[in-house]
Amino acid sequence: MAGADGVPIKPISRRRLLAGAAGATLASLAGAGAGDADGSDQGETGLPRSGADGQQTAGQATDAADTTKSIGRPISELGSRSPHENPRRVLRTTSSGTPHEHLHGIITPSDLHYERHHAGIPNVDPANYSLLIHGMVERPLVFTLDDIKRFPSVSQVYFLECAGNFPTRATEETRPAEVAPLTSTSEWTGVPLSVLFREVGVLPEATWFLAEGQDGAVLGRSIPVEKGWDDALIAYGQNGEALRPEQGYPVRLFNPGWEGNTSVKWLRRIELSDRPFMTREETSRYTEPISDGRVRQFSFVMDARSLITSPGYPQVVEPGWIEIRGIAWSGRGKIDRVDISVDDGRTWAPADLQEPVLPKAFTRFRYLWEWDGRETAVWSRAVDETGYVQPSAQEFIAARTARSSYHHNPTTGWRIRADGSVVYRTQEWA
Amino acid sequence: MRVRIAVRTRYLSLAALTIWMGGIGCAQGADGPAPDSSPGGDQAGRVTHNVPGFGGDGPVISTDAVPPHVSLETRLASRTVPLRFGYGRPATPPDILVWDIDVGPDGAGLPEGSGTVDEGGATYAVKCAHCHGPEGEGGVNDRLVAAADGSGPRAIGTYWPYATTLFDYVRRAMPYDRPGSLTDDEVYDLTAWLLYRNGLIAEDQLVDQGSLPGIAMPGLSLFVPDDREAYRHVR
Repeated sequence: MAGADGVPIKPISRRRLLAGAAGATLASLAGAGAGDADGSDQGETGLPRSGADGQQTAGQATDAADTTKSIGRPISELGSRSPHENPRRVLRTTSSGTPHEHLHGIITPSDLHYERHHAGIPNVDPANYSLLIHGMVERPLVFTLDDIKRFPSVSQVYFLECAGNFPTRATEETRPAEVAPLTSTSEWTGVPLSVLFREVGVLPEATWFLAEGQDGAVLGRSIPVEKGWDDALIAYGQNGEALRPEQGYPVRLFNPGWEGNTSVKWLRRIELSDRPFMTREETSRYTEPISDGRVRQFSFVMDARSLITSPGYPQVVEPGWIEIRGIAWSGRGKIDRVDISVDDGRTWAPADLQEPVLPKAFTRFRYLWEWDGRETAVWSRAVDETGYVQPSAQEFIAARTARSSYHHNPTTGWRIRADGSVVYRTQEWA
Repeated sequence: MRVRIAVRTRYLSLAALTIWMGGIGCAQGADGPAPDSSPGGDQAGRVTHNVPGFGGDGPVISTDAVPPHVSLETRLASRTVPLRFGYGRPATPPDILVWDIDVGPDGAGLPEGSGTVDEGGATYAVKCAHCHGPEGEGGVNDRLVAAADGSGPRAIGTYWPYATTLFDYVRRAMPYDRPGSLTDDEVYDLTAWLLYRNGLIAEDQLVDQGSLPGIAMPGLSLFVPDDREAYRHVR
């Protein structure tokens, strides 16, 4: 038997056709995913019976899990995750973090991008939105959202990381997402700030600019003007759609590779100047102690870091082949190498890096390992294209003091016990 | 000149590709279907061919008439981005005035008005103490007044490098539950009280746009610019 297009068609029993029709009716009544109406076809033994026409029905598993016996849910205007997938951000007092252990690849789903705000998430009406650029410019200008979108656009994949991205507790029951929750990667779309700099005519004596948001904190940061001429974006797109409100809808500044706080959200004003503005967020905050007792200021770039996302707490693994997986990133460019140790830091070997390896973006690494069932710990260590090596906790504390939580990037690992349980490899401070 | 040749070659190969695609599923054009063959053309450099769906009298693609496209990246690198697109409108003085709230470390942007320690204490008790503690010792939110021996969490008197930042931050972001609700005089008052409680000014000192930038802050000596580099080791 052949269909009109020449593809052979299996004979289908009359009973199965009826069952399918009944299933479709039920599914439409229930809204989605109703149970299979063909359950009556199952005998008391639990084994499938032959059809009335003496021919066994195809697909003999006829319990409710058999999705071949009913019509699935219909099309819809807006997709949703499988009801079996329930990733959630890690909630902290003032932030929520990306659940890295539930994710694949390098793109963070927009609704799982980490968030940190200083006065909540404002509800900005795009019809009333405008961006003012003034100060040391030839022509102070006001741009509407439509104006901003008319300019030439670029889309780039970049990570974003909060300056304060560290485990808040140091117990063995720490999940991968809790080790480095406040980092995510998206494709960002916008107009290069340099294009707007040309439009307003930034004066040669301008060396800094203030970026200011329209949230309740009117959060402001001083940015060296070079970043605007280099790769800063005025971004309105994230992963193919408009920015999420948590990410600054409708427009944010995006400074690739720099601490997240500088990528000011709900951006409403840029003022060019010949000196930094010394806002609270670059004096009282986002400054960190270094070993000589001084405090480092304007430490914008995020250093290289890596995180094993699997195995990790609370997984339980079995002896045999395990693919160690994780992400690595550097604010200075591309990841050059990720080293893995499967013997608690004694020896290291490079992992495979998933292409494409993009600058200032997550790089996915993989390391296939045959675990012999003996207790050990697995570690990762990122090396970026400048030669920077992710430090150990001891090296980090020696340089920054144990009090430093901003720009925290020491290597971390997971202890694998003989019973297969995986726990965070606790260290001196975290 | 070299650039121009490269661009033309790119368009020629595009034309060849189009011809090749045009050769699939319809009559081949007179210029030949092979993907690796050079397209034919008249002496003016125009290439003619048939395009599926356009019948036998397809559009004429002229390699000379097509303006070479230059990417935004190339334009940025070669500084050939149009200097102006003409989008946006000129900002008027009122546009700027209403949003230009920043106060610089030199005092630029400080408004008229003044504040006293007494008035500041009264305002603090009503609007600030519930988060920062009655004496500024900290509560659900930050400690503001440094401990007498300078120990403990960083506070204004031990860490903040510029007194002007106090005014700027309180005016833009405080109180947390009613940001932007304080008058300039209230902000000056609170600034005066906080500086006094941190031992940085006398109880009777008036704080205004003349005096605030000159108030010395002990924290300033702590700060050094970022000295990390693309570098082998943590710093």
